[in-house]
Amino acid sequence: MRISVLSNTRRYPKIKLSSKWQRYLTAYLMVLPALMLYIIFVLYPLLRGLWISFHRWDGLTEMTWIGIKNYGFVLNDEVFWKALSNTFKFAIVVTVVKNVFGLLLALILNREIRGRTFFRAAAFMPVTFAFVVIGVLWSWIYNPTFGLLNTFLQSVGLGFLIQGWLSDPKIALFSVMWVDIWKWTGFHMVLFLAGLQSIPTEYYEAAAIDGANTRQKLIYITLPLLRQVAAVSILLSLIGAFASNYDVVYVMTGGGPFHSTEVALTWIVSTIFRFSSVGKANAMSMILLLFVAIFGIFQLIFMTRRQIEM
Amino acid sequence: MKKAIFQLAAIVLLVSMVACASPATPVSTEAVGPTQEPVSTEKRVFHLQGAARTVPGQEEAWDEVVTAFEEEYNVNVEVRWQGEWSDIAQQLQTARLANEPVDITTCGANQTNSTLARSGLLMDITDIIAPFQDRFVKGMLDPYTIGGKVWAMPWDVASTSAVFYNVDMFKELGLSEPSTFAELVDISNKIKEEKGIIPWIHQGKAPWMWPMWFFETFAQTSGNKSLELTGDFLVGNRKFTSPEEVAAFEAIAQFYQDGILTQESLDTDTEGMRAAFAQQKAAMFYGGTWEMPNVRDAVTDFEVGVFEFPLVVDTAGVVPQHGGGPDGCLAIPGFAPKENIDLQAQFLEFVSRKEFANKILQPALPLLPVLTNVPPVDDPLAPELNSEFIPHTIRFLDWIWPVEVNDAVMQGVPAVIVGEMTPEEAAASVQKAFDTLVVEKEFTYDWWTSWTADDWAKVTPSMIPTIDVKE
Repeated sequence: MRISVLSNTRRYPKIKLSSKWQRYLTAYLMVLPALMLYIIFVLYPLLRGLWISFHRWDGLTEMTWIGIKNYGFVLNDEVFWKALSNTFKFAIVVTVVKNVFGLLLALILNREIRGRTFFRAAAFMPVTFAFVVIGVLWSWIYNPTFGLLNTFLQSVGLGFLIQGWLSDPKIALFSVMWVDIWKWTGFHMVLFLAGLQSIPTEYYEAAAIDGANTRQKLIYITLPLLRQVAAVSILLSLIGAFASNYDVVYVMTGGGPFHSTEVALTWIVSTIFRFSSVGKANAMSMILLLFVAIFGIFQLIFMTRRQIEM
Repeated sequence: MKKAIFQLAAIVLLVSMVACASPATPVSTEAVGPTQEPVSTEKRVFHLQGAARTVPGQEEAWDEVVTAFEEEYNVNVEVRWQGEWSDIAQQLQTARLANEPVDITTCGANQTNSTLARSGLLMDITDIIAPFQDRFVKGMLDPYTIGGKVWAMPWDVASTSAVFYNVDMFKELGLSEPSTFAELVDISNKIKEEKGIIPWIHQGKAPWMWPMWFFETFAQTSGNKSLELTGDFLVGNRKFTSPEEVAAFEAIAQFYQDGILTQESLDTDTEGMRAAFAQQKAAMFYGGTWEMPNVRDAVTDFEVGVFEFPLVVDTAGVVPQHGGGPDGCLAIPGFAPKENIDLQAQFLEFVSRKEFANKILQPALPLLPVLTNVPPVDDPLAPELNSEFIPHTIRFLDWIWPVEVNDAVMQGVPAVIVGEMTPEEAAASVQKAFDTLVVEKEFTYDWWTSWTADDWAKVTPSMIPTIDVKE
């Protein structure tokens, strides 16, 4: 039998990609490393979490397939729904207040006032502190026996306003929200300051010639031109409020009193680590993801529409 | 140009992939499997992990003992004290999932019973401590013996619970130790009127302390049968909504309604409670005898006394009963490096030797030591606590309850106090937590009876090493 050997000199036909395909391929290759990281650190854990959510698992022993039972357990978990509601309350209130305060501070500190640099630095300072430090600091400020807040209220004759800031379930969540607002307002101030400084002064000069007063300049020039910055600022604060509310709640109240400050993340962590119900906790995560995704899609649609209008 | 960009992109991709892959190599070579021989030229590394030390001077004592162990057994010990004692289960689970080695961990009787042993997070050390188990005071191994196996070594000091009070202030106001709730109300009113301070401060921000109130009141409302009734509840023969449990919640609520406890207690953490008492902003507080070192450290201006939790029922023959026992322990995690089993066993023996046990435990002022070679501290309150409180001490119920039930009580007690829940609702929430546990996790009280051979194999030492037992 003869075996024919292909000659090394044979040349294969060269694949000629059109410039359009080369462009596509180049683009895909460029994003591939980031895409791989996304797959490894986001998509895979997400799918893995979804898989685990169909199991009874304590994180240590073998998983037992229980179908969608965990989702049924979560539906009956009153604390989870309370935590989810608190998460949305937290995100919305904090986002609105941080941005309003940030804008006001930016408007004030954009003026030529004495000590402007100091005040800007002071307003930004809390951003640099870790939540653990801030949580402990504010826990002491709120302390009913030694705390600065109640002592101050007492000393200025406002003793009737003294509260159990972290122990009264009606106000504890707002007390925690305030700490998040206090920490991040400086960051949003910087964003708005950057936006304010990018507005050409000619607009204000022209408006002044037309007889516009300060309020009119603010409404008809400043605010419309800050829309894009505001959109970014709101997006960042919303993401932050949903994703990073764990630290401050855990340090300050641990979710108490009686779950009044419980947010979804603290309850999910408790479900995993305190109650060792990893499957149920993953089902909670999936439900949280679903709600946040719906919220995010609405926000995206709203922002995109605003940008198109602009 | 396009071709060049294409080639450049391919090179960048290749380089980035190689860069991403490279860190895996040293990790895999450093990993030491159970069957690998330790490198003889290098010292082995031993990992000690536990909650942050809170007793003044105890961390320094640990450092000395660890150094002595390193020298005697030619090993490097890496010590990590972090978090609170209640975080141990979470820390162990995290370490287990992250494949972080932990040779010895501190633990508590509460978690050992409710979570750690049943989750397979602890090694069965029955045979490991057998050569030196006569070092433990009789009965001290019991809270760590579950299903006939010892899961942790009692360590630290045994405790009971008491109401600590300012003796000088009581004398100044002409008050005497109350034995009933009615007397306590009178005393509290007098303190508020004369001193304008909080009569009784509690560390309400430490949620795990609230169930201790329930242990006290339930012991009385159940006619001193709280342990038996708890056993009945956990095997499903009793409902938590029974009159005795509801009455226990009601009795706690009365402390708030009658002005003994105030709003401040709900907002106060452990440090705040100690500071309020030491600075005479509060006249009394309730806690375990583990508070003694901190009390002695912080209180310098007045004499401290103790009295038993007052009687909240007037049923004949009922006495106050307090939670107590050997709270702290040392254990070998179920996932501890198998090749270090000799060191793990030796470490347990080493720290329980007379010299080292005393070095570490004396700063904790052991009123009731768990080791026979550690003498009780010479404290003016020790005789009273030993003669009057210890006979009234029963096991903490949260050493028996599953963590979900304990959590429901933790939430229920302060909720009842401030009127967020009625006592009936609080009791129903605990029952619901238990029912949920049974449905969701198929909870059984006697979990060890349903373990398979595989389950046991994971927590049973592959060999029992020979250890040096020295005085």
